[in-house]
Amino acid sequence: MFYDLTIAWRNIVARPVQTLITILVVGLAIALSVTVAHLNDGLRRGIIRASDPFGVLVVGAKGSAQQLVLSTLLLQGNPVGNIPYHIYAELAADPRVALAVPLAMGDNVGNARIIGTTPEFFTLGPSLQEPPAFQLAQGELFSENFQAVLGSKAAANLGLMIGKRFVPAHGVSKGLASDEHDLPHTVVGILRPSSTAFDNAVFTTLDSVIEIHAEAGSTAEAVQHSEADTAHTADEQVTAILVRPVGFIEQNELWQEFYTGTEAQAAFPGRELGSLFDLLNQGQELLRIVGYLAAVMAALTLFLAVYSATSARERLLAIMRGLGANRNTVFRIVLFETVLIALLGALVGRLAGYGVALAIAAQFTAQSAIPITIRYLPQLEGLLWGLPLILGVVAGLLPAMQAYRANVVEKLFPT
Amino acid sequence: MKIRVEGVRHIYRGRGLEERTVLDIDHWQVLAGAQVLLRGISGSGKTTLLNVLAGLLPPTAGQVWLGEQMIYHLTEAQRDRLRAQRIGYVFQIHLLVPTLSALENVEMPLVFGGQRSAAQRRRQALELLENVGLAQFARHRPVQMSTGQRLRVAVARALVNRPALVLADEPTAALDSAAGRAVMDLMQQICREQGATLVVASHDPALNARFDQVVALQDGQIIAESRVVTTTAGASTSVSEPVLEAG
Repeated sequence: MFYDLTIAWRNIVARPVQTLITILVVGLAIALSVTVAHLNDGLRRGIIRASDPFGVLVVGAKGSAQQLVLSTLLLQGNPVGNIPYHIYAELAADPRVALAVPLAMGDNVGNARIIGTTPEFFTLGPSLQEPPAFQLAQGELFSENFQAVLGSKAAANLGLMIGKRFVPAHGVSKGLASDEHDLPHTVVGILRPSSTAFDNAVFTTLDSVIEIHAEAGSTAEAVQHSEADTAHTADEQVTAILVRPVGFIEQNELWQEFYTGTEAQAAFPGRELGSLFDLLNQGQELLRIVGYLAAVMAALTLFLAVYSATSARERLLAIMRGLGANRNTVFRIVLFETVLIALLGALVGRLAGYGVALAIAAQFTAQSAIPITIRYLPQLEGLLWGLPLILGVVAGLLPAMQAYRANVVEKLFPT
Repeated sequence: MKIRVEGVRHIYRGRGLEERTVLDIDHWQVLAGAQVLLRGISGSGKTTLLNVLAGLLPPTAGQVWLGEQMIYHLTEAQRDRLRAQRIGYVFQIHLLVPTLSALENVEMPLVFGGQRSAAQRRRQALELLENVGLAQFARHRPVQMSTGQRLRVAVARALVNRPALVLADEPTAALDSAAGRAVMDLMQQICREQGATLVVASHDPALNARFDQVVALQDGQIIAESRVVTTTAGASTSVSEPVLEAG
């Protein structure tokens, strides 16, 4: 068996260009599947992890629940709208609510969103038993208006340190210099990485955001405030509220109330992310079909590569038969050729696919702040070795049968 | 190894289904250890007879004995094994495997013959390469060798499994006369040393004197056969036997 493998190996290295091209084609087909599988896994885990610390209900403006969850927890896209401040005040006072954290968005600094919130935000974590997701690396939390705490990535991107000042700009993403407000903020703290989108955010007090927008005279999408008055008025707004009810029954009661109400909606992040994953699954199904087509193309290339070498190989195998090799030996040699090429393609494809997935994940993480990590996927092993093995066997079967059936005398002594 | 051929006929069917009898031998025998030359022009049936003797070409009719064994009563796999273990074959134009080195080419019959120890195979193959004067070319590929060297590798390959029967098809055809003589000397000497029967097909008349038995073939039939008989005084005489009629 080992000898047959050696002969098969010698045969394929004797035609290096053809072999290399075939390995690359097989590798591309495998790389496609590997990249898709790794990114899908990384994206799912990234989204789950990024949304993990934020309680079980997100309250925000009526509209798309998915957009509310994505814009609030993953900071993706524009917020749906704003909701009256009194909703937050009522939730904060509601005995069914263990924790309510307001979020006010509408400004940015160098593409990092500025989020007006309360110190309770920094107590959020996956569960009460686990440490908070957002912890200070340096400095302290804000205690006055116009003080800011930076997420780890925002601090690195903006190059800001404790004591430095910056001027916020209007809008959730970077715009024109003319959009800048006149109220500078001072950095008082920098957070440790949290593996959430909020690593690329800047936190300040709710009232700071309110005051900025009162200065700017903004009315539509930001929080409004009556200047120098810490009491909140009826027309003030927040963008979203993160709510942790005290129990399951209370959670459902609250959801039901918002569902029947007209001012706001409550969304379950798990449910909305589940629908997002369904969408991802559909995309993955499509890519899987593309992957299968690529695999068929790879099998055809493999078949052609082996088939085109038939006449040279027939002579060689006939010599072996003449020297005493039996039909099974030559059958195995041809099959080993295609299987070896397919497995080498699989190896190349795995490495390339993994590399591409790493590169895309890094790029995506940098752009979206949703941390995508690529990990070893043991469940892929069967597919990634099994599929090329099947490809190799299928592509090699016909040439191997030809070699098996070949008339040795005709091949050795062609007339 | 003694050879006995009885009523062997082989009919070739062309693509147009036309039939042509390419071998037709009623009775033919070679004693163990004899050295036989098959003579005849191209198409006379020499190679066909060698292939039949090698167990590669089942004849349309008749039977072939190698030693006590009726080889076409064996399964194909058994004949393959017999060829690997007991028969050495030097193909026309030598036919080495281009992707393997000289040493690996010589090793092949040992692999197919079931010799499991790679080290032992290497040793035997290297010994044969030394015998044919090519030890220093062991790692060379056929493409890196001259025609004469390739032939010597083919001879070493045919002899490596210490066969009881060595078949050679036009072994000197591509060589000049001096190189041809050297290769024939080598092959005949090793066969004598090993007690192997040697059957060589050639249309080179200069080879006649070197063989114990010369068989002339024409249209697949033996038309003349001469044997060298050694007298009690040690002198050799060539004795012609009657032509065997076909059918």
